[in-house]
Amino acid sequence: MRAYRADRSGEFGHIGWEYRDPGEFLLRAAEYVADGLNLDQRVGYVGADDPATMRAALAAAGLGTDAREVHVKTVPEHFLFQGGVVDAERMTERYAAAAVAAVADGYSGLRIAIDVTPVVRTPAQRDAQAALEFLGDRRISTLPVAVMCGYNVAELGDAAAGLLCLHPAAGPSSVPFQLYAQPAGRNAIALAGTLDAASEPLFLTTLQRVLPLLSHDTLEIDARELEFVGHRQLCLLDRYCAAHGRTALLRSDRAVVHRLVNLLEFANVRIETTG
Amino acid sequence: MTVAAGADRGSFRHIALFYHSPQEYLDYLVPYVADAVAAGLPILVAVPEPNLSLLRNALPAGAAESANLSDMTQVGRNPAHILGGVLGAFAARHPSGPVRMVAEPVWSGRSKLEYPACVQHEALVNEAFTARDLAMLCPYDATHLDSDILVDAEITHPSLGHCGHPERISPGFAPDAAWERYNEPLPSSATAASYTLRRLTDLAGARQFSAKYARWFGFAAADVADLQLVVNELASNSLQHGRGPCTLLLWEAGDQLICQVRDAGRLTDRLAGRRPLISDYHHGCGLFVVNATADLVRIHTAASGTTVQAHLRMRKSA
Repeated sequence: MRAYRADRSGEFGHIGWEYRDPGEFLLRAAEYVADGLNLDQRVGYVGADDPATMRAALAAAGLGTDAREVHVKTVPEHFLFQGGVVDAERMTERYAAAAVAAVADGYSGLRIAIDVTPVVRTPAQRDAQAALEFLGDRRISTLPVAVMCGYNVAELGDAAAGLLCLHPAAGPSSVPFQLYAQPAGRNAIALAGTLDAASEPLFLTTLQRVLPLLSHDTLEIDARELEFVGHRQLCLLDRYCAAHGRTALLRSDRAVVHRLVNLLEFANVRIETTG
Repeated sequence: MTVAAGADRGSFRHIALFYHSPQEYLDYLVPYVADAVAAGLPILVAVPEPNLSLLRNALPAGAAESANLSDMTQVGRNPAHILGGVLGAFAARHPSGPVRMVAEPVWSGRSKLEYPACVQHEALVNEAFTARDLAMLCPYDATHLDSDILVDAEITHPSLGHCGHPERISPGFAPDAAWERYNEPLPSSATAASYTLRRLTDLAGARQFSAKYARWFGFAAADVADLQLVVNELASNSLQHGRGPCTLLLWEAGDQLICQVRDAGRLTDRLAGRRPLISDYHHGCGLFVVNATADLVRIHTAASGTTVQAHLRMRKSA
């Protein structure tokens, strides 16, 4: 698992977690929630079962009597929907308000483990959740919030990667690349990992989902953690920017990336050196 | 022979100029360049040192500044990059109206490995600039180059120029035959390390394999990154356009690392990687990127399969 922007102490941050067995996710969620309790955070768990069953399962997964401290919610209780898909903008504000309320109530922050699988079963649901992952990540990045989003890859298949890659950190296995908001800039994203022909379809899907959420100002892309990119994926970025009237400014320390951008003479992607 | 800068407008001319001395070199080229500049024509001069300095110093005041002068040993070190990255790029910047060029891709220092790629380059020039109002003079040092090289120049150029003689048509002009003759099988090394790719998800493993191999020899990180780019682009091309899996072979030869990618497909587009980059991504430009990155790229293609071989000069890490 890599964490580029996430709080490396593990206290706060936004993590995507893939699993194949719900019991496996429950064990990980119990650990995650236990960490929150030790940090005096308000902790929550969101899943598809009824609250009593989920609380009992968390207790059996290792929380024991501490499970009573967990705010357990069902999916309909936790999420706000609009037209059968999550309402990304209202949910983003709900997370922010919950974080502020937790601190007002004397907690050091807010921590939630969510099994997101039930709300991303259709393409339209995944598009909406992708917006929530991106906008929510940007909103909570300056708040004392830790969120772990679980995705059942046995059920969602390759579609899970399109949501996992929107987290600054993902585990337990890595996704090919990660694209997420940069809190330092209002129209900035970070791009990390590797981009090649194998991950190109996922990259295109991610651009299609994320770029409409950003303003038409120059898009700053912090690619300092982008370990590899092939020329076709840069061409794709340029073409996609052109089609949507955008300009991207890429930041990278890698000579190969600079050479590719300069060689290919893009109309919509420029490169900036970093110190 | 004299070649007027504005002659034969509207047709492509590709002329091999055989010179025997520095004076003959200047006698040919100074008027050609100066006339083009005086006529306001875009002119590119890509010749090796010391010829470049010789010419620059002999040009009339202002002409050297107006002409685009490049050292071919630098911009054209990889013969496969000359057409797309140097000549084609210049022509693309001047899409309408006449264009003039002086391009000297062959010199005494060219290696035996590089030379076949030079001949194939010269052969493909005829195909690349068809119907362009473009005249290209290619000087050949008739004193120091082997006679076989001069014969090849006659085969790849439709027009020939000799000092004191009028320009004449080349009776042996047969660029396709020249290209095919140098479409030579590219054997690998007995010491090559091998990695097979069957699907696009194997690309990451191939890049890691390449980096590990190069680091084992102590090559510098920047050169290892170039190698990974070359491997990625060649293997991506093979998997997407070839038939079935492809094999990556790597071996070290002195200060070079040689990378071969083999597949079962046939490369039918001889100009692949040799077109200038314009706003047209449909053709892809992986081979162009490889040509721009590597120091030498050779290709052998036949019904049985295609081998692309890239040579990279590697520096040792500090």
